Amino acid sequence: MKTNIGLVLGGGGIAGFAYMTTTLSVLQQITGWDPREADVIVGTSAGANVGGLLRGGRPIGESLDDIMTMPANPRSMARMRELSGREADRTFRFLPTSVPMVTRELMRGPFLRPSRVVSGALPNGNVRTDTIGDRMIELHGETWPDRDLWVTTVRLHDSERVTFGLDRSDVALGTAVEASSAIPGYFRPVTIDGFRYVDGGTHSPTNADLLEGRDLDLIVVVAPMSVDSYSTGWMTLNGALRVFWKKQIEREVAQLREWGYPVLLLEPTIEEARAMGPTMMDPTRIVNVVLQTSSAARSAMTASRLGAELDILRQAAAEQPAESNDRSTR
Amino acid sequence: MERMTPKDAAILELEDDVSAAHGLTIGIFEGPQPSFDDLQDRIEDRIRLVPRYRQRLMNVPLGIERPVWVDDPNFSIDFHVRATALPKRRGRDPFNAFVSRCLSQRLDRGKPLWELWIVSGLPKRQWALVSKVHYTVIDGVSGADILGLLADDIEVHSTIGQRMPRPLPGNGALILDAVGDLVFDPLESARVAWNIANTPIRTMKRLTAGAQRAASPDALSRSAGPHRKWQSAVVPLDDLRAVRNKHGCSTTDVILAAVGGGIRNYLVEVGRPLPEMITVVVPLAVGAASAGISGQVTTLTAQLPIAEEDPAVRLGVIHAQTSSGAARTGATAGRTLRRQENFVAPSILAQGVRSTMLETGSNDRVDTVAINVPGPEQSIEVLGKEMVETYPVIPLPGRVQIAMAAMSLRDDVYFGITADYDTVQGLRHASAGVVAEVVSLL
Repeated sequence: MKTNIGLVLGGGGIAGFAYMTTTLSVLQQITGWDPREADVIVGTSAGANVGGLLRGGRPIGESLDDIMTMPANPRSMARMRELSGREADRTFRFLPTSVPMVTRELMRGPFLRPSRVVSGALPNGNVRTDTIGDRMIELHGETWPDRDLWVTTVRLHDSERVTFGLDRSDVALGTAVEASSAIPGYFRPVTIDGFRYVDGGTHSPTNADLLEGRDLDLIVVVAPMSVDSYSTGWMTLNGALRVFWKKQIEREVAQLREWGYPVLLLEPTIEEARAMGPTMMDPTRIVNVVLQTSSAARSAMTASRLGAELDILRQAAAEQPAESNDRSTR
Repeated sequence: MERMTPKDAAILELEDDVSAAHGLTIGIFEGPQPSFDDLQDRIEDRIRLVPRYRQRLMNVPLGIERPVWVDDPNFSIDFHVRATALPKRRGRDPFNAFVSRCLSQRLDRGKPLWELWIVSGLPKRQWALVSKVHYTVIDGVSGADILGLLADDIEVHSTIGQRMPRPLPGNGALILDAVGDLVFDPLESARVAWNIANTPIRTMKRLTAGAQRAASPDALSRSAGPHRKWQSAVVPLDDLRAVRNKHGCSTTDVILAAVGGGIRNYLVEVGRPLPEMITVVVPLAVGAASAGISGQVTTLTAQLPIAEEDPAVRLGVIHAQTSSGAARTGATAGRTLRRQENFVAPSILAQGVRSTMLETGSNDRVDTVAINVPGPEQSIEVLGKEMVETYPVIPLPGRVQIAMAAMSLRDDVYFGITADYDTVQGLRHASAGVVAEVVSLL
């Protein structure tokens, strides 16, 4: 029987993108498992971008090389400049992203969801997401990939989580990934059919709970916004946010385990978290993040406590088509 | 108008009469030299998509905000691409003297912050391209090392990025723009307020750091002057690997040992006192348990035991520092960067130097700086000519007197050794020491 792997790729901006590509490359080097072979990919924000590249057939090692060799490629540099908002026009940034979302959450009283309140209250973002969609259209055109890719977003007008590829797949993947990447307060929300959508990270940093009921032998969760220890210090913005997200991720992972799934949770160490910093969209951190992660991920994965989960991946690697195996050792 | 990032502004602020904030990358080529016109055309073609190369800095009146990048209306490629010829003499001395002078000379802040020199007249019918770029430009996003952008196999197949330069803003526009940033961006106003509140603390730190430095006149971090001298050294990559395998350590360890060997040999030969240990900062180092991260920097601070007689013991002491803990992944950086289709190493090295400058600017216990970035394993060609050697040239961060950088190309590792002109005599002993250290470990 085939070994089915579920891959959950969380949000985390440019730094998170660098973290995820490095971690998955190291995972592939150690176990031989090609993340393109995942049975289902749940992508949130930066994770939706990585998922889109994987489903478009890009080996993860190539995506890593792309960001590392960016300074020798004027076109990638131009793309990254646009994402980093350096050339964004200044707009009137006082109006909150969504007043209805804030009021609706406040009416929930003690059950309000803090990240929705903050996201709705942040001044509307002014950076355009077009380059994100263009990259996906280059790879996928107007079609949705054959194998499952679930792209999470939050619809502002009713605060509901909408998962493209699961709830609906009648939009281009590029548009869905743009919507999923639209970090509130930073990017301009993406309008689909007259409704505005923002980052799926507004609901959860990983959205791993979507996999409930799916027949899977292992779920790999890569969570760039988390941190592997609570002792990061609450005093910094970076530490406080990560501890907040970590709690949410741990609840989801505990839920997955309760449902009977083995889970491989990959989260940054304190050093990696510091290299990524609190501003997730700073491209000058890429080199530091990749170097830090490539070493930390290797030592974390060679530690014995992950042995059982890695064995399932090795099992899956043995079953994958020969082409993937060839490319796994670059 | 694009405002400088806070990090870039911090680097700009560190530049003073003594410490420069620009670095050089040298590419040495063989055979017939391409025409000056071809070279200019190539550069114009490549910098189209890199706006920073046509932009200059403009200060905001009264310094109420960080400077902005504006299009230089007087931009002319002739100002930035320069040719020079060396006097006919044996050896590389004239070239090293040229590099030293080029490094000592400040870039004009009223113009785009880069130069590219084509140097003819090296021995054995060689010629060189020397790029000189300010570290505020090489952030890897808005700008990259110019030499890395000249390689033949880079695709630049679109016309985007071609636009007319915008006129220079007047003082009124600069102030309005700054006020706009402060008012419209809540984050920006918070940042500026924090900066103002923090100024007295920073000034105090700087003053006390100066007082501490003056207390130790023999140290390698004794205050330096504004002029530089430069030497190079070449070590075969196979030798480094042989040492690494023989002693069971990492490539980074061997490079650090070579750096220590160079400084030791220099101190012994010129008769300066030999301290027990010297402190070296290695940016972009990963994996060691002793690696500390201050601010945004991934750096390793190690002690080089240069008073120890036995080179193997010296290497062992370094290895013990970089390998404690579970992670023994000194080669990780190399593995991560192994596949380089493009010549990206100089830009990555620049990011390490940027980090180091921010770090050593406030740390006076640092004696020297060493940085190592693996380069491409295949050949790099510019205008159809193969690059046969490449050297990184870094400035002296903080007040250190000697700093070394190493970059590999194909089968060799190329060391660039920068030193203060006035306080360091006999720098050739340092470059000889680098080579000798590796040979003695074989």
